[in-house]
Amino acid sequence: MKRLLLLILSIATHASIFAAQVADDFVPVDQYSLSIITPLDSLSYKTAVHYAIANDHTNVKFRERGDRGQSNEVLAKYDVLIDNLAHDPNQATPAADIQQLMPIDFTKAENTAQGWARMGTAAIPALTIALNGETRGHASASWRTTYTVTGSGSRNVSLKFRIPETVMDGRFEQSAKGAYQGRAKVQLLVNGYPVWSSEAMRIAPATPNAMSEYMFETFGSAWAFDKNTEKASAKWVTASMGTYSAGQSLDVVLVYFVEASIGRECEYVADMYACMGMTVSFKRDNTATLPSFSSSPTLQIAIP
Amino acid sequence: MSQFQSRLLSTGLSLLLGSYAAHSFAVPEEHSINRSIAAQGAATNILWSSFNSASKVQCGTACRYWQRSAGRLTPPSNWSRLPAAWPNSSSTSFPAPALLSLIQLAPTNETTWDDALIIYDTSYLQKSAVTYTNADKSMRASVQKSGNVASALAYHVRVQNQSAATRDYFVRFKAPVQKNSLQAAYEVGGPSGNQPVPVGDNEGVARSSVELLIDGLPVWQTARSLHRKDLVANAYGTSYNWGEDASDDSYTIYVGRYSSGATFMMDYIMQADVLANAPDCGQDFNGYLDNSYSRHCQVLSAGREIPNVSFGGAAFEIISTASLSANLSLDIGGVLNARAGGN
Repeated sequence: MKRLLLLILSIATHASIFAAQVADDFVPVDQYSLSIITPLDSLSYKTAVHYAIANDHTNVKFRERGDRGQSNEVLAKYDVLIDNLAHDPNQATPAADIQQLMPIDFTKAENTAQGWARMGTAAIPALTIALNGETRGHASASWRTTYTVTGSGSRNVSLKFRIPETVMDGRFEQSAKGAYQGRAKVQLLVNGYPVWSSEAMRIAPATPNAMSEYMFETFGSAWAFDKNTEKASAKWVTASMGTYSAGQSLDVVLVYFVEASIGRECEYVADMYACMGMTVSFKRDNTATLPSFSSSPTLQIAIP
Repeated sequence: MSQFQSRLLSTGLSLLLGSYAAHSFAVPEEHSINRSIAAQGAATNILWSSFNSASKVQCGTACRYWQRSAGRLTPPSNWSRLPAAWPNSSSTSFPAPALLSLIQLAPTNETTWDDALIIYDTSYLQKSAVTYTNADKSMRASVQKSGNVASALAYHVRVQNQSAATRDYFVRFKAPVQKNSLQAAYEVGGPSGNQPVPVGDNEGVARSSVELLIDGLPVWQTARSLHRKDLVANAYGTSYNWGEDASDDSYTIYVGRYSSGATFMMDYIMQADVLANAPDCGQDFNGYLDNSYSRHCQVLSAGREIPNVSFGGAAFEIISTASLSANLSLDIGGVLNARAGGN
């Protein structure tokens, strides 16, 4: 039986080599079964969150919050810029539970900005900048660790990580139409060099005339936003970090970032405020699986 | 705090747009930013008056610098990275960048059906470059007609407090000015018969960005995107600003308070990307003596100035002071614990 299995394995291996062979070249062989998987929680890692919101129309014009944590420590920050805190539905919320937090009723409070930043136990962040009227803000979350390449010899190293459902939701207001824009970015750094990144922007004309007048643009790796739902689905990404010698130590950082701004003040119309709106968000994702590194041998077979 | 995210709608008669628009709105400005909360999670906001009068110490050998340049022409082209091995050996001063130039030249033997030579205005079809000469210190990605080109530049710094006492750390730098530009495809004509008239339904989008991260968290960032799409732009494109001002601005950012022997990492990253779908070009006959046409195609570029190491601290420097007076009442959002924490 053992011999039979070895024979099948040998045939399968040779078949894949011959199928992929290129004349006068070397053929890399992906031996997934030889990969060494290292989950992030088996390493020492640090997390961080931060947001900043700004409003030039309130007494307090700028707020920011940040925090740093160790491994699976939960970090969570929330605040709002609003003239009258009575209109903040989260005023009585003692903790920044992003599941419970409510958006502001923009018809009752003009030019408001909310910022949420959270890092969960599985190193998957939730970030939101929610704006009504002429305000701006950005938020970020990251984790970092030192990864020592496992195995022996030359290794192909990659990282598998989660991008939560991502929302770039705009609201058009005919009575107060004006510029609004948002973007989201995810970036993987190895010793400060961006080995992988993906960035999506939502832009519109300076004075849009309809809700439909906007578009998404993407730089780097593909990130598909649906113009009907104004969001992109959650996904797992496996990003190559490059080829390294086993035993090499790498400073690894994964950064999530959102940003939004609105260039037009709210208008008071028919006993309520009318405001352009823009929310950019990595939604809370309760996936329990942490990011993981993969180290695979860099095998090359000379074509006879 | 600087005014970030201002939006500039760029219209004009010039075929070269991006950088002109930025300079016309540029206001030289010094910015001092408390980023202690982002860096360390402590409510330490130094008084900038005490910083101004304090003795500053250059980082010197307590800082280790790594630098990498990278570029990529349209896939399936792969990234070229210098140095290839990463991380390479470090230096103890802010390094000049590794030079990089990836070019696909425009054809020089293309002819019309009647054998007239076609001469492209721009000598390349695609270009990704990190340039560091007296005249030009920049990183850029450019596409004539259609393509997908990118460039990246990264500085990685490890800083250690090698003094016996706790110290406050700062980074000072001049914001790298954007070098985005769009030359529309055109032909000579119009009412005067002698003016450039845009042609075609070409499209394209370009973005250049800069980020500064402390221990992996962004503490400063800027970007500018340039879009040539029917919905948002005329033939000359529309530009959007993101993040902090970077037209002619210098920043001093409070990184945080570090005890003796403590280390932190600083990353300074620039990226330029261009995606263009612009097959339509205009062309003008140069006369029967030359028997050639000048071809005017869309050229879309994204780029940034890069730090001039000969400027020393004016370009980028990390400095420290003895622990400075802090202003804990500085309004950075009220009571910290009121809405923090939880799940």
